[in-house]
Amino acid sequence: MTPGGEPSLAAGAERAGVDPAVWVRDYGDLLFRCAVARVRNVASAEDLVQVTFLAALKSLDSFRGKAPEKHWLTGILMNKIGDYFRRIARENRAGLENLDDAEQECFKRDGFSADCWIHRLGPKKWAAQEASLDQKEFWATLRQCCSRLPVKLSEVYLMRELDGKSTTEICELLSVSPNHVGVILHRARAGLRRCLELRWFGRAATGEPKP
Amino acid sequence: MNTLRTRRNPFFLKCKDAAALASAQLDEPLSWSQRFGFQLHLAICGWCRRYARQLAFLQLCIRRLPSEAPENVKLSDQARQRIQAVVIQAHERKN
Repeated sequence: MTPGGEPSLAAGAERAGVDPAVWVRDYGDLLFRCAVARVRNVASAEDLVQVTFLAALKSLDSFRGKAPEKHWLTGILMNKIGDYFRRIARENRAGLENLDDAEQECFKRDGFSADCWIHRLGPKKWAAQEASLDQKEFWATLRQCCSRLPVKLSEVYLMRELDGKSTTEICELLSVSPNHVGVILHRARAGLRRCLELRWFGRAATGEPKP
Repeated sequence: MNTLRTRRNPFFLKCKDAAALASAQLDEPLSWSQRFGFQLHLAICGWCRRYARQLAFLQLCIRRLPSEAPENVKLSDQARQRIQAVVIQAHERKN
């Protein structure tokens, strides 16, 4: 499938040996994997891949093949993902405001030890943590847990952990306060931690830690 | 960290505050007083030590998650054809 053909290539790209006709074949899945890991919604991820290729076509002339084609395309995709988040944030500010806190109920409500762990509900011991890393089922569970988080939480969280965005960058991107980003990240982590504990480590979980 | 309610003694943290700091320290360095209060709390609280360890482990896992992705995550044939058509069309129009 190369109806794009060699002669029509732009000068800069030609030098770099770039052929947009094979992009979808060569990089489609790679970009899709990147996108779907971050935005989760398959349809949006597909759109992002398409938008990325189109943007790449537009800036083909400026691509001189300094970076490998793969990295160049991935870079464009990351920018598009940023745009996507900005749009989502604009359209749906409320989505980030009202997220319930799964961990709230794990702390004592009042009395002298208010805000201390209720021992029954506190963090359980995780057996064979390191060994889990080698098991396929562990990663499947983790993926499931990610998809059970509220979409907004997991998207912000993955932006932080996978793309290494700092909280300041996320604040600017979503135009929310640093304080709020901190809360979102903490809730995402707390939700994931709990989910992993229940669904993976839960089988061997034991009670109180020895201080 | 501003998520914490103001307390009379910033060095005497409750588990809830320590849990928030355990998450916050993964995002940016804590201030001197936060670090001090946090470490002091960890020294006496096995629950929060465990919690902080688990969050750190979780971060490690999440960062490895993409490389552990099953190879079978792929564009559907439909999407592939659609995108291919759009890209080719745009490419031809450009030249």
